[in-house]
Amino acid sequence: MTNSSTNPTGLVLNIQHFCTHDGPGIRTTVFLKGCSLRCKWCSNPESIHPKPELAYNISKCIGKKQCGLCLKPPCSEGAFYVLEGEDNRIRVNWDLATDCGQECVDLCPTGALYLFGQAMSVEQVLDEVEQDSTFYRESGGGMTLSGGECQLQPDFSAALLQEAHRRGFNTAIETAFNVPWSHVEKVLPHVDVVLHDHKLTDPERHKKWCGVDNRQILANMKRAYETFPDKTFIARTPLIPGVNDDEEHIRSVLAFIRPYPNVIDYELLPYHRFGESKYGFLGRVYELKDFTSPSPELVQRLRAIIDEALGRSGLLEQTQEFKP
Amino acid sequence: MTSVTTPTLTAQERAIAEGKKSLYENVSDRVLRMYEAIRGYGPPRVALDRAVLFTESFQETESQPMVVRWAKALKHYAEKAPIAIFDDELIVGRPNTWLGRWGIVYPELDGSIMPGGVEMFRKNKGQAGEVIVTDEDARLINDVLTPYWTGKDYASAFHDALPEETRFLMFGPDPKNLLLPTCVVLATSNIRHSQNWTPDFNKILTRGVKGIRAEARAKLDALTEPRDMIYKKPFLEAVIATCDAMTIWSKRYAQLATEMAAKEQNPQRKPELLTIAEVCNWVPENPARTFHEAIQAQWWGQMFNRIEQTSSAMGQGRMDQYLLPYYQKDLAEGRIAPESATELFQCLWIQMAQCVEIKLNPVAAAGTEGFSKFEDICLGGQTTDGKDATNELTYLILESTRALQIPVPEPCIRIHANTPDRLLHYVAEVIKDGKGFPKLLNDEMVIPFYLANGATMKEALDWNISGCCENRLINRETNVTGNGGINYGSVTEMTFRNGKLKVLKDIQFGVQTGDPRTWTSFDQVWNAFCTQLGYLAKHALIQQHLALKIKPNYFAAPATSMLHDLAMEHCRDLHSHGDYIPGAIDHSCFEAIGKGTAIDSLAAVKHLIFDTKRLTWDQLLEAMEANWEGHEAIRQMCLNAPKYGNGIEWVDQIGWEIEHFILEYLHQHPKPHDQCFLLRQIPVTFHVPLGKVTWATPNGRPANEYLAEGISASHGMDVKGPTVALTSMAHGRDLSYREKGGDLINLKFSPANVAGEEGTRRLMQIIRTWSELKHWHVQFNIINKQTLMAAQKDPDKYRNLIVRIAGYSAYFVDLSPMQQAEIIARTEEHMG
Repeated sequence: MTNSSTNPTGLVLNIQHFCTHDGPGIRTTVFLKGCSLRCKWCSNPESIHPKPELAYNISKCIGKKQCGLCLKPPCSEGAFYVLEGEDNRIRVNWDLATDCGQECVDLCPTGALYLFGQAMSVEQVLDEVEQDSTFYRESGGGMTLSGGECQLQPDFSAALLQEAHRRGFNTAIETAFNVPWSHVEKVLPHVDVVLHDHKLTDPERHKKWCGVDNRQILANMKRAYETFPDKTFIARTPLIPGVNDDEEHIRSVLAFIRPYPNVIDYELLPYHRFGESKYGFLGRVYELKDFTSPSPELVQRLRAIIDEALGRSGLLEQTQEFKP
Repeated sequence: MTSVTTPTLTAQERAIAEGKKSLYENVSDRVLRMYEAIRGYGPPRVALDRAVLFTESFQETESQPMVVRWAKALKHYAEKAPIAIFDDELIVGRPNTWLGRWGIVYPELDGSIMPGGVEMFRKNKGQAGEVIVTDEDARLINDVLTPYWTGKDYASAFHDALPEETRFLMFGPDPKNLLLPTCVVLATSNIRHSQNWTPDFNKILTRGVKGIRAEARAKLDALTEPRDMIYKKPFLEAVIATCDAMTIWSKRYAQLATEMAAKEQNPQRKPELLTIAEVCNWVPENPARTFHEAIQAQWWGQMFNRIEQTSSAMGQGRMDQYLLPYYQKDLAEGRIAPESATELFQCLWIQMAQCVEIKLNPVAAAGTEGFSKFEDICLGGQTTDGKDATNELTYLILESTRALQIPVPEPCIRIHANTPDRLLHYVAEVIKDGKGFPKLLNDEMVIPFYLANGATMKEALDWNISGCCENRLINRETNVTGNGGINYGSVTEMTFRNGKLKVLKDIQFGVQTGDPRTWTSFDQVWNAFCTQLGYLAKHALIQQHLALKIKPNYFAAPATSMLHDLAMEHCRDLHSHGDYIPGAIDHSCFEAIGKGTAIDSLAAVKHLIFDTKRLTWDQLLEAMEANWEGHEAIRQMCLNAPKYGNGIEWVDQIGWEIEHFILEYLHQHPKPHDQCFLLRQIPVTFHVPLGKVTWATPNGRPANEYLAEGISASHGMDVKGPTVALTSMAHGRDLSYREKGGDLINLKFSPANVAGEEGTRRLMQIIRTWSELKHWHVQFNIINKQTLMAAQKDPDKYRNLIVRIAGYSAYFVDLSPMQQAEIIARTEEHMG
């Protein structure tokens, strides 16, 4: 993406309206594409790769007999084919489909073939976000940047957030902080609420499950807490069974955030597998096939620990869910 | 969302799953027993006493003024109709002699088609829409009512008097066809005497019919002008006779209750019967003194209006306002407690729930499925002093309706900028019960509408909800003539088929606007669309002018008119409003159904043929002509073209342009006396039968499928959530005309999405924002899809399941399979 600081464009995955778990009030969440972690439980696999990506939902395909439009030129690569004698629906040869763009997707009348990620300007994004502004007024909501990792596009993110502020909206980001500090320095001044993940405590296990260790992440968090005392930080843990759903991890996060009064909350987001189908659409494999959601009892017990540590009665309703 | 296997249940779903009779505990055993008896009775039955007695009376009064004939018929009814009081009843008075749902038949309205209607109802046996017609009922209809009324009823007179071209559009080429409308241009004056109406019941409570009678008497005595003897005297005589009729009827009930008390062995029931006798002896003749008398007087008012005529909808007025003095007085004087007031309210609601609207005309029946009845209780809003009007009765009434599994009455809330959060929070909680109640209408929209139409500020602040999403100034407005309307689906089809309609045998219905293959710009498409739209609009107005002209020869409504300030002042029956009653705000309504279908069709053509050039006219027209068969790829392109309701500015703008075109047309063709036609976009369930006659449309919709309803997006096509849907709909409306009347919005959520306190707050925020966006109406369906599908399979278990239709709720099992599917197909909004 061209990231000229005057009029940056960014790679946007999706703009989701009416989000109620990504910060205060009714919000519009802008998902940016590209991530520097590879968490195995990721429920937005389409957000990882920092380029537009072809996806294919076979259940929408109406087949060669009725359509077959994608089999004709201009796809010179021959990335689409039909298994003769089978259901006559299209298959994708993912090795050949590396260069697919809008013109390939446009061939498909059903929306079975589609593209994850499109280049958008700050103006384009905010114009769509602004459609919801009447709802922000009533609910105290605003715009949230998410990803992928939104801080991987620091100039674009900073420009989006700045423009959101200029239009009068509250701003939030969802981040894992696995970026150079120079990125954080650019983005955070324009953020009101920072929702950030404490995925694992141990650097080695972090590396095993998320692809990289957590040294840069922890350093960034500490430095962010200290550098931006007036910002609101909310810590979160996506609760993955057998990975981090133990008391020890919860307590270590609590110890980590305790010294900082600007970290106002710690939320648990129980694992779910709603993202599983998208692995198939991208021609990838979902590794956690045997994982189940943590039991409500366990979640309740861990939340009680947090409530106690944060000095809450524990009667507050916890409705936060895992929204990576 | 940790566990997707156990869905969050609404209060209604929970009650059904647990086999409970009510949603909450605040229902007495008495009310539950009555509720069970009514639900156990089964489908509604035709109530014929009124028709038979009216017919007897009308045979005797043929040369007399219509208003006098009506009053005499009412009096004949009051004197002769069989009456009954059932165990447990505290509020009494009914036009039938069984404890169960009843529907009055009005032969003067459409008696000519009655035999056909009887056949239809009997054919429906065991299915949705079944109405009980016993052999004796059938005999009365076929041998007594039909012979007298054939050729004398309004519906056939209206049909015969229509200009040929207009009649062709409404009923097709067969000049004898009275029964089956084409659904291209619509009328409703021939399926109901009156447009939705709210009588000013408070006059019965505060003055008694004695007071109204005295006013009429004094006016009558003061008449001296020769002209008045013709124009005013009959009306005043009719009012007097009507007041007498109401008194006679109530005193017969008092007498019956006294006789029953004398024989009653049950020591609890005996004093109740004596109280009923005392109450019925006093009201409606005299002003109500107690809360019980006020409720009974209100019911007398309702009942007499129902016996007089049908308006398909009877608003109950601002009950939390006009009943408050009686409630507070009884409370202060220890005559009543909140619990006993709740029970009296529930006795009234149970009475109302037994009254259903029976339509003999099959298309009218399909357009108002589930026996639609808009019995609005208007709550909240503002006082005539411009203050918030919420009071303790607002909550008590809402609470009393909340527990019962009955689809009427319908609480509705007037929302305004200063509606207290406390009320809004409670309203959101009640909405979450999942019965579709209450519906919400917006002061911030309706009050400016009235100011633009000549009301004073004080009058505007006192508006009533009346009907589906309609509004009324009950002493200033006079429009009691059913509306005309057009089918946006037909307009769309005629645009692309050179004025022909395929389902209607490919006959030339509309204008020959040319073969689309010759069009080279979207402007030409738009011009053709407007030509067809204007053509149908013209004929919708023509039929309305005819209805206004001839209706006074067929209908009168002294019981309704005597409760109206202007009617009394000018001694005029409301049915003569077409001649204009001085001082009136006298709209007529122009209904337009299927807006989302039209927008999406035009958008698809613009996108696919002109902007992206992905399709040629030949491809599109051939595919539509084949109803997409063999052209699935093209249909998919159409389905995936940009759609209304997703915040796409140019698409939403088409919606604005369509409204603008109609509003300007209506503005150019006003009624006399500076009155106008209003554009309304309220479907009831007409979007289903109107879709049936519409062939495939360029939005990818197959032939015969339902159209989009209200101003909502096409089913399932608004994919960006409720915030975008609501703002899109706001952008698609033209608010710059005084002719802009009500429109309807459906929002559907799964219960999990509005669960808990957080969900309640989200709903509150959505409602506040909806009000700020200056929408007119909104209603909510909060129900699990699984529940609806389970109800399709096991109707017995779910026979009390109530769902939201359009401005009203109904039992799901009372709906046809097509309508059930339509409800399931509505877009479900999600919170991310």
